[in-house]
Amino acid sequence: MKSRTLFAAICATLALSLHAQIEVPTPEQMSGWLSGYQALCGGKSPLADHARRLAQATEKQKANAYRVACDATNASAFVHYTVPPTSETQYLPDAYPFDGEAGKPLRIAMAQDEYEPGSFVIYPLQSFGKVQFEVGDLRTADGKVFPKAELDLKVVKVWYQNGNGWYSYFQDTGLKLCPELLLNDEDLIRVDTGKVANYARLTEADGSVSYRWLTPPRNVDNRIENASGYRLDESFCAMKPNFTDAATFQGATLDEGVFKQFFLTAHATTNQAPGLYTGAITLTRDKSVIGRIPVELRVLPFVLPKPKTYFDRDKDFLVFFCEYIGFELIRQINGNDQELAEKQLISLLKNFARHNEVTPNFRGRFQRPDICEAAGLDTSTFKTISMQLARPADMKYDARRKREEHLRKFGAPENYFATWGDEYGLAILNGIRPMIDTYKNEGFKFAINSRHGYSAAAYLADLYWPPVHPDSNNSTITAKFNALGGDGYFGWYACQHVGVENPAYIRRQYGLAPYRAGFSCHYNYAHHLNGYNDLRGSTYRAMNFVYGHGDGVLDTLAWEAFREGMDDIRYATHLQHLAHPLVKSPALQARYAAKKALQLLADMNTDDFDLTTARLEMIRHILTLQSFSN
Amino acid sequence: MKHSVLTYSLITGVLLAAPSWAAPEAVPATEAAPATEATPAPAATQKTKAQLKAEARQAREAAQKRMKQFKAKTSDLDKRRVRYDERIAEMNKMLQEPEFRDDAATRYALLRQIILYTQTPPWTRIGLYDYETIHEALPPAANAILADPDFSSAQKLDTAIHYLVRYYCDYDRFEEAEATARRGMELPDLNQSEQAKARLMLADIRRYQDRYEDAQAVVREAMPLAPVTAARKGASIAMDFGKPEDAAALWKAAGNPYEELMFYEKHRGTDNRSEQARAYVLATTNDAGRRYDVAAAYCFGDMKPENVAARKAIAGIPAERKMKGFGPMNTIKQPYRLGDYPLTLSMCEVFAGSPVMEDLDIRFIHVISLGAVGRKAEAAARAAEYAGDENLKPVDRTRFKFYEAILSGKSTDGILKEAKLTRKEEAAVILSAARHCLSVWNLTDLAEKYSADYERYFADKPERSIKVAYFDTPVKNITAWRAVYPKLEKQYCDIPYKGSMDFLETDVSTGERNVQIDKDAKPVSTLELTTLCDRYGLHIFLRAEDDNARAIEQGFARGISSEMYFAPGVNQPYTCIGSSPVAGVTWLFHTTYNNRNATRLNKEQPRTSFLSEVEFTEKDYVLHMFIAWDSFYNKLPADGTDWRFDCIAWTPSGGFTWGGSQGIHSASAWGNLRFTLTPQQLNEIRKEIIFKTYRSYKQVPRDPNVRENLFQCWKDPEIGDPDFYATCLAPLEQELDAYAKLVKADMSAEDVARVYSEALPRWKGLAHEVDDLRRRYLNERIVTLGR
Repeated sequence: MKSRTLFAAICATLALSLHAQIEVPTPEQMSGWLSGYQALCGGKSPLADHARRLAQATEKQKANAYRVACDATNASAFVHYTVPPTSETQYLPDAYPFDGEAGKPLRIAMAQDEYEPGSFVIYPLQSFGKVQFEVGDLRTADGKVFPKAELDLKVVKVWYQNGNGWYSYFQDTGLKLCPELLLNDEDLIRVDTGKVANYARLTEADGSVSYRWLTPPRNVDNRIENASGYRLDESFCAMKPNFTDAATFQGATLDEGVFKQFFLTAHATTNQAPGLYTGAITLTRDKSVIGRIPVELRVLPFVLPKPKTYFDRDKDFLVFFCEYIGFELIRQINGNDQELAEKQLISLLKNFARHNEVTPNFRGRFQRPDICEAAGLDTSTFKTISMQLARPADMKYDARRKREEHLRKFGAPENYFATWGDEYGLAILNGIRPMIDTYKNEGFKFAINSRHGYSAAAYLADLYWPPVHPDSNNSTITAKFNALGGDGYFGWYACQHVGVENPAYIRRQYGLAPYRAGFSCHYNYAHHLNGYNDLRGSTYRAMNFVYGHGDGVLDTLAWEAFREGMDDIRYATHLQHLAHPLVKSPALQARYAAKKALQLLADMNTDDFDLTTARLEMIRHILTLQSFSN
Repeated sequence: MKHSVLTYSLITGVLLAAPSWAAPEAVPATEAAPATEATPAPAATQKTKAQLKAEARQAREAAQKRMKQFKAKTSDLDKRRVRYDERIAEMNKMLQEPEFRDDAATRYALLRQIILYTQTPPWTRIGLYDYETIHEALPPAANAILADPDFSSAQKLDTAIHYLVRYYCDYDRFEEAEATARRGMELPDLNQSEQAKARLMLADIRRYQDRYEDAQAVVREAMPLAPVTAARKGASIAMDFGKPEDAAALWKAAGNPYEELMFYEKHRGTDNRSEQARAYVLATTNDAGRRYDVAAAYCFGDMKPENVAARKAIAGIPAERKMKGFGPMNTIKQPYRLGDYPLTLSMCEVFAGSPVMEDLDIRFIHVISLGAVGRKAEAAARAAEYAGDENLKPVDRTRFKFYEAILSGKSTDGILKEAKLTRKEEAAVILSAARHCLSVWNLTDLAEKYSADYERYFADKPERSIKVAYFDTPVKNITAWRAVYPKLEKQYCDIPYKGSMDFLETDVSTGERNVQIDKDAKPVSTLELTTLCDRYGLHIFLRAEDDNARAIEQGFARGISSEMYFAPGVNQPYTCIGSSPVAGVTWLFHTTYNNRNATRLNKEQPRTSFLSEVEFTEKDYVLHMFIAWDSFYNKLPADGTDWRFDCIAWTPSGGFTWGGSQGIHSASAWGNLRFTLTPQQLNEIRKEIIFKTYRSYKQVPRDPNVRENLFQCWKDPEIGDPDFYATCLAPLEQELDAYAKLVKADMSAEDVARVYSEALPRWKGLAHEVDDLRRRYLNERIVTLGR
């Protein structure tokens, strides 16, 4: 049995993971590549022609040309690299994708009823202008079809974010290029490297086009100087119809020697037959094919379960956020259009459902459950009310009325969390205990985010979410909490808040790191429409998992990585569900297989293992366990 | 508990004393009475009258003074965040003082205050509250009020009865609550409204028991006495219990459509009365003020034609009534904040001619919004009109002149020169122009121009840099550092952190710093920064000169703590480091997990990652941080390389930074650690890492204190994957072993460079490379073979 337990064990404590965010070559390496470049220029091939055209380019670009030539000696139009979609690497226009595989098919392995991404980077050997990408149906050898309608190709837009881009959620006054947005029409955002600025393309109903500066200094980005005293996250009215991404992929401009990343998300329905589906993405210019990128997609023979916790495989792993997505917030940036806001909110909630965020607790959640249900979200569990700190009679009365209202609207309120206040300590906690008792007596659960009141709150909390890192450094405190009967949920926030673009970081933060560290919930701050200007905040950056536009929201690398993080937990859950019954199997090999699979998870108790590899190892174990289960 | 006993005894004392008190209101009246009877008054009587008047005035003033003292006391208790049981004790103490006790007004105020102190306070004070206090403090105070002949029935109802009823309800003593409420109903001389109020207390008692029908029965009893109050109460209970039809019936009975509509505004989700509201607004027979109120509640939110029509119907009312103030202005500001400029203008039409439109902010909003909807000529004309208003400040007139020019497509050149504003005012005008060109008028080019103009009013921000000298002899600790200290460049955390954010006309690097300077112009009372490096790593020293250092060490004085940021170059993951004077580095905040490119600083690995130490002397204290090269094996600095660093010193007189950060984690503002390594020095650094790595590069940590040979494990048929090993790892092992053989104590500079460049990153990152190979291997197998 080829156990990956060792792999995980090794990976776990090795301080390892995937590759560089920004590569820093040694002088010797750079010197070697530049020598290679000179040699390449003397050759006869499309690559050599390309190299010669870079005579006036930077050393980095020349080194790139040489390194690409080493990877693909026969290339004529472009070289493509398949890359991990949730890589640590910033695939910048001049960054050689050193963790990519040149010329390899884009390979995706996915369960039924799952969304799964693949990604590739293109290095053009000449400038093509706008190139069309056609994603065709994928087929099995026996003719089954994976429809192209379930394959969503996007370009990864590299734009300006502040100096903390990719790494943290804090404000800064400088700008740097950073990959983030997933767009159908890359021209929706114009990036001016000369001016160091982003611009939004605004298209009016009459077809006229203008560009709106998105990255002014903080002071300039304010449209309510005469009406202050009001929270306004966004000065750019991004959700007006004049700023709308195309509904389908519009192709991309390919410039010679400039790397560009693409992101393909496949969606297998529950009914999609397992098997290997193959096909290609065809690149054309002026209707002439300039190349193909082969696609190989494996639909696995299982459906993923709902995410459960590591320590209790029957306990739901909950996903809460401070959402900030209600009607009023949308109306702030769509020109105060309530009708449009309803459509946009539904679109946004459907986007939630596609990304494993099925228990949102946004402001309108309680008033408009119809919208959540229409979007396919889970209405059985959510943070629903704020408790009312008042006289005992009023608190009891309020709690009873709220219970009745919940019963009328949603059924039993036992899965509904009530909260109150923010980050308070022991003195306040002591003062609100009668209130907590009152609401608990009516069936509500109590959610608290205090860091300082742990000792006093632990026995009270049904959901405890202090500002801690969701990783192995905190496994001791989660273990303490989980030992108190196991019915409470331990969440986290703030470490870090939403804002980090790095998809590898996000995937870990919302996936196996908290899962293995004994967390049972996310409750971070915040998934909201916090604006396009990364210079605007005074302490924090704009915290965006997605960005608003006329038709709803634009996805980001980080948001896709969130989904992958949650899917990692679902794979781990499936593995546990298969393995545990087999631990008691009379067949020795089945018992071994089960224990090796479980050891894989057990050995992941650090934060350094590579998540893409870990997923593949889980799949391998699941397939093995399935053979024993069957 | 002792407070409670004290409270009780004091109140008992007050009760016993009560009959002998004179009613304060009666004093001047009684005393004044003879004076009014004395006509014609003899001279002596007139003198007495004057005297009496004076005495009455004095009494009034004394009463006012006592009330002021009482208010000052409660305010002080709150300011000092005194616990509520102690506050009650303070009130009781005052009640013992004759001047407060004998004055019915202060006596009532004190007793009432005691009752209020027993109520659940707001959340900001909840930590000061003891839920037990109410049992001992409230009933005696309430009973004292009830027993006091100087207090009116209304006072007794509003305070004693009301709070006693609530108290009994709080603790499910509903029979007592009902008896108390009935006692309230029987109080003499209550007017109709008060009688209704007393009955509605019964309604509350019943709703607290979920006796819905009984509560509504009481409401119906109260309806003839005070229809609106009763309907409001009954309807509110009906809505609580999900019975909107009962609420509607009550309002129908009350026959007050205005109050009805105002009630339903907050229940729009359940029972939307918008149509009824519009009809009310359009009916000119209704009171104008009420029509406005209803319109404000229902018709100010959007541009639906029916609401536009309703607004038109009440246009002019604000002018007639000379409306002004926050409420009316906010009805214009709200759509403006939402970027709904058509609605903003529609609201301006409602308020045309009223004082609201004279407000400066509203005038700006009006002009800006006209420009936003394309009515630029009109906007420019308005702006010109306002610019001519000599009552406005020059800066505001200039803003309007700018708006006029911009909206007319004219240049703004020369306007500022003519206006003769201060530089700060000029900047404000330009900033405002930039903002509205950008966000409202869609004039991005102009926004960029004005933004650039605005930036010119700011001094350039400093770019700090400090040379990191290399020492051949390693400087391992603070003692060694003291020996080389004189040779090191010293810099200081001397730029105020958010001290004065007004950079206009001030260069932050040379202007007011607030930091103390000694006789040699050296900053004191802040942190001094020195850095150096050796073959093991980078050393950063933060020193605070302080004669009080020992006291700081012993915890008797406050020292300087810090927050630092460190990144091995631009666009690299950074670490935030927190320190306190005695504990040294207390926390690290990471922005990456470990991966091939980035390794977190780890306090558990002092030799190969991060170490810190603190030393105190009589005159100073020093924090030393060592950052080993090993963690940065793949990004060692070359000659001229800058790594990024900043330190915010949290001093008793505020924050001061070295690099110039004006916010936490402000990466672009950090300073530079400038390396000037010679090839030979770099060679020494590289050799040190090679020697530490090559022998055991295959041994990877598994659990603490357990290391295993990575290749051997993968070779194992049970716990590894021999096929993977043979396909992917065996060639790798062979290749890397070959480099290891080149490592010798006296290896040449060329070999060092070659091994370092070609092998060292792979040795150090072996697990990453294996991981990568494994990913590729598995991906291909699972996708193509399905296993």
